[in-house]
Amino acid sequence: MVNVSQLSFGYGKHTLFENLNLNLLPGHIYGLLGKNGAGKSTLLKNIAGLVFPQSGSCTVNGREARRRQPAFLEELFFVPEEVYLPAISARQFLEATAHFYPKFNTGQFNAMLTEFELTPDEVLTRLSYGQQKKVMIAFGLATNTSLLIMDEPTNGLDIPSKTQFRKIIASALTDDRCFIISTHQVRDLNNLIDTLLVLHNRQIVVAKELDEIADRVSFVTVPANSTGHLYAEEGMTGLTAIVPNTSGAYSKVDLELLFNAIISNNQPIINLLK
Amino acid sequence: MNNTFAPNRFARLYRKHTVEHLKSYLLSIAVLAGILTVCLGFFWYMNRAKLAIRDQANIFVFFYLACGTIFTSLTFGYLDQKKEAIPSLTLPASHFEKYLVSFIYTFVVYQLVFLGIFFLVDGTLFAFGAPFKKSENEIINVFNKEQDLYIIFIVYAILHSFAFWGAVYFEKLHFVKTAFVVLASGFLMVIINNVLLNVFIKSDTEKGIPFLGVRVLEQDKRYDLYLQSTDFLLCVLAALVAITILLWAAAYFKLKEKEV
Repeated sequence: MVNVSQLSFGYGKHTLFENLNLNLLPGHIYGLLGKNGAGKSTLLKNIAGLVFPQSGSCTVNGREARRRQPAFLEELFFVPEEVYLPAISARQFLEATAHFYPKFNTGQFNAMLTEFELTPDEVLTRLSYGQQKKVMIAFGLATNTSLLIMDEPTNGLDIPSKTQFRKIIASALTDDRCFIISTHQVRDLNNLIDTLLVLHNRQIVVAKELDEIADRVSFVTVPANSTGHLYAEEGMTGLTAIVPNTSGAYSKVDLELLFNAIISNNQPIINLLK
Repeated sequence: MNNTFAPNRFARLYRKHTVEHLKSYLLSIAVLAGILTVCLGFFWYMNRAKLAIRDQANIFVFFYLACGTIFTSLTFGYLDQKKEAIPSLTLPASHFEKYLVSFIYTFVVYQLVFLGIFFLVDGTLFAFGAPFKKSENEIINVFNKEQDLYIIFIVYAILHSFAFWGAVYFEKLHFVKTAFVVLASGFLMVIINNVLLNVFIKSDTEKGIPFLGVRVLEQDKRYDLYLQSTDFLLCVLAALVAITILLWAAAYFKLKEKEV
């Protein structure tokens, strides 16, 4: 569905990506992680055709992103980090915008507004930042576009809303849709994504389903003086560590620990997950 | 699917733009009507309920061009801010349709609205002044060839093309930056014109204004060289039309290549 091939991009002399390759499939929720300034938002913008590659290409369903043709845009919705909504009600916004998306589901949109405890008659600019974000997320999900990109969607959401967000996202995924969620708040992706993407050192260093990651490495708690782990951080009851999964036993992927291991350039783990 | 222009999709885009901007447009119209009332009313009051043709024409020309170019300069202002630019650029409509909506609002709708408001205010003042009228009073006719005011529509088209191009080309301070570029280009054109005149004409040239002709000094005599009036007007018009179309086209291609 999304094909990024040999992508190089940068701002001025600062190179963000060099010959980056990425292939995303429908039916998945991808979590895109990276340090501040790694280029997560820029990668998403390249995929959405909002910035143009210096070399290489980005296509979605075979259509080149940089051309921004209506047939391409009908199958893509982008929820930016900072949302903008006009000074009209959600109902008016729906009437003015929904018909641009052939698969838009009004019932789904209204149900999600109810779930987020919002009413369709409130003027959007009078809503709080978090509420505006919820409207945009609900609208994006209801468009039923094959690709939904969300850049830091949980910024501005309170804790109950983050739980609602996870629930709604999981319920909206179908076999022909692909969601990409970018965030620097790793914990927000717990129990939400099924595939992890890590952007580091101008490359996608990890692009693996969580089940595959759990097949290769285990996340365990070991005594403070133990050795033999690939990466470890001090915890309350010893070391929280990543070790090779030799027994085949399943352990839940600790996204934060894994992310910290990767951005500290832990090559054994990066190699293990290639 | 037509990825360049589809009438239904364009109509939906036009409607969306109207719904989302209606309040600010109505507010702007109210402000414009207020300013015109104050300006025309001032002359009306000072001249004892009479408005001279020249006063009406001056006010009409100044506000017609100033408001139009400022409004046009702001038409792509949403592209300056990422949070506004992203939903706009990713909305499923073609670049041409997005371009056309802004073009119609700034070039067609603006002119119709301005004319309507101006003559509403002007007509109202005349109606109020009728009982006190001591001498002949006349509302200007901008379409009358004798009053030469119709030229203002051509001037507006030229200035619109500059403002429209500047609106999409520059980031922030669109009007100021465009005005600077226009003035600097004009200045540069005069200089280049004089250099070229001195190259082509061996005698001393006294003055040469682009598109207007040249005055030559030879043996203490002055000769004015101009094209014959019809040819001259056609040349000037052709040059201006070409510049205007080029700038409108440049604005479209810049919009197509816009990144946020």
